[in-house]
Amino acid sequence: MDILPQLILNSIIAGAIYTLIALGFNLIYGATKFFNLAHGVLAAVGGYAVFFFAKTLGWDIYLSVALGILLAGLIGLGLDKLIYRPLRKKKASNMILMIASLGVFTALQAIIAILFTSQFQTLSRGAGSQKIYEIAGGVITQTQLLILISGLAIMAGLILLFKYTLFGKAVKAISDDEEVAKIVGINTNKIIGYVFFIGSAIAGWAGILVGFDTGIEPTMGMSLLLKGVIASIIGGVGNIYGGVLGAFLLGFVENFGIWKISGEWKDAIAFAVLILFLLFRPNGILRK
Amino acid sequence: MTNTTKTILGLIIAILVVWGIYSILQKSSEPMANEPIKIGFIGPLTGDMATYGETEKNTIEIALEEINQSGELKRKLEVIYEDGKCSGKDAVTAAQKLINIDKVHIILGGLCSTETLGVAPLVESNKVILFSSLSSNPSISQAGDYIFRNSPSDSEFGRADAEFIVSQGIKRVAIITENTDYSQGVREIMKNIFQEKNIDIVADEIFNSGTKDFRTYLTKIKSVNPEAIYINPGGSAAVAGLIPKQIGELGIKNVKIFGNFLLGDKEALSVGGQAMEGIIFSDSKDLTQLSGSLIEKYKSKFEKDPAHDALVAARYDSVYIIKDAIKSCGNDDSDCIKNYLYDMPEYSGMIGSYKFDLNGDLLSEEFVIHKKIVDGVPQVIE
Repeated sequence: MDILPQLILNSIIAGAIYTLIALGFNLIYGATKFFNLAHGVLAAVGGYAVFFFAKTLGWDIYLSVALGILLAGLIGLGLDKLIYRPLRKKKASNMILMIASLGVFTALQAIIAILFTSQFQTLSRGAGSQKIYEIAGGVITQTQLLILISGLAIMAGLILLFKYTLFGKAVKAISDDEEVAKIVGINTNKIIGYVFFIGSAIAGWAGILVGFDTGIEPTMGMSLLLKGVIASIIGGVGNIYGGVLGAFLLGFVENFGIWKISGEWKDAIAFAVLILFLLFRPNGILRK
Repeated sequence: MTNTTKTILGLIIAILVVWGIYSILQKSSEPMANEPIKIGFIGPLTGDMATYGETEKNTIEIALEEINQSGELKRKLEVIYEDGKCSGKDAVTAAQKLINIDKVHIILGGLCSTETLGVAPLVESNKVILFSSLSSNPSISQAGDYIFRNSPSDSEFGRADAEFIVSQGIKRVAIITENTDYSQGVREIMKNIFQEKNIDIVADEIFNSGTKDFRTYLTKIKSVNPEAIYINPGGSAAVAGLIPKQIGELGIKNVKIFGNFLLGDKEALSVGGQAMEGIIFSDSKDLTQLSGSLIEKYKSKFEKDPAHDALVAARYDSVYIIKDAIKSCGNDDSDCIKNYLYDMPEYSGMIGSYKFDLNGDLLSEEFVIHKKIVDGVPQVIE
């Protein structure tokens, strides 16, 4: 069997998952300029919301997914209102905001573990009965295809949003200089709130898809977040295209890296790439 | 406050502290005739393996209640539970506490091999008995004189699995192993046997704990066309379900799938779903008829299923064996108990009839059986 097509597909699938995390992360970073570590746990929130609505309560799966995305978005918005905005008001440094988000991450993860136990759960009903598509000599499942398509669609959506809407321009203005944006009459708090809602909803969606593809556990946020952050840094943090580029690059490097050597090196390779970029191109592929 | 008052105050505090420590030490150094005998327990009470630790804890509670009610021992038994978190470091902290503060002479545990191996040097130098009912890493055999277990070593499982695969006429095997003490132990033994029997190991993949995406490992395995894949997870049962699921999703067909005991775990079966059909895995021998009622008792007392039936049986036996030893010695002197265990006549318990060999390992006829998953339920292969 020719291994190459499947390796490429595996890389694309991994890259698409990282894309979904990196997109939301970069969106929020672009507007607020701090590393929102709580972003990872919102993926778990999305996944567990669907688990609760669809599996525990037995609600319709589409409704549950919609509610899961909404809930992740609302929690993101709530976090901004209750924690980050007061901190910004007090002129807290980005370091303090990051520590606060780490606190949020840990607390939410613990709450999920208390409510749902630490057991690994899958969202898909008939495990192993998924539809499989053959593409150019490799195979891809329905969920994985959805991950890929939605990753690209969300990217396109965000680009259009930034280019053609007033909201997008406002975010850009805040990103350039929040004080000046305020002076020209932009309600920065409101706009940042929307950004948190959208970014967190994307993270929730990512968590749901991962739940259908592999499964969910309370600690899933950290590994997703790490890869998402690496992708963002490689690609150019705060840059939509950069995040996507970085995500796919990471996916390819990881999966091709272990082609000829043992798989235990996978994480080592990912972090080695990160360190190389930090050393030689700290602003990422696409400088902002 | 003058300097003199400060000095006097300081002296008074120092005397109080010294006196306090002295009186505490005094108390614990003279055991009272009717004070309970303290026994330690080390196992994961939090984390991924917590359900297994909880199962052991609950089982000990059952055995303890029975023994203490029977009044067979002059002094009651009391177990102090410490969390080893399935980690060598945490298990050592727990053992330090049990040995130095609680002054126990017997520790039930650890559960994970890393716990048992971590604690081993400590119990050995303090002459404390360590009695595991699940740890199966082969190196525990050589870990020390005070270390016993009534669970088969991995060498038993690894050997049984390798020989089973050989007996199926398979010539080309792929192994996928989690990077843990347990799984690496199994892998080493299987590799040796395969080499002896001239079986080709066409792929030998190792993944780190926490991995959820196995696609590239499996793509590599697929490309070398093995006749069988041996799945060798070491920590989480979810992984034991995820790998077969992703094997199915990658369209790898016409390959026989084998694995270790984790593949029969309820969590693995639910994660893997249909992909688990036909998988053959090794497990401890089915429990004797006696233990059926023990499992029932467990279920009714704690209103939930134990994580692993064989673990309940083995841990229950271990408490009774310790009770027999204490009864024979008249106290919990660890050297006497050690000698009792090495000389113990064949013990007929919940997991079968067995005694201990020179390494403190289980000595019995075949303990490993194989099961096949049919319609989502593991069935014993005759």
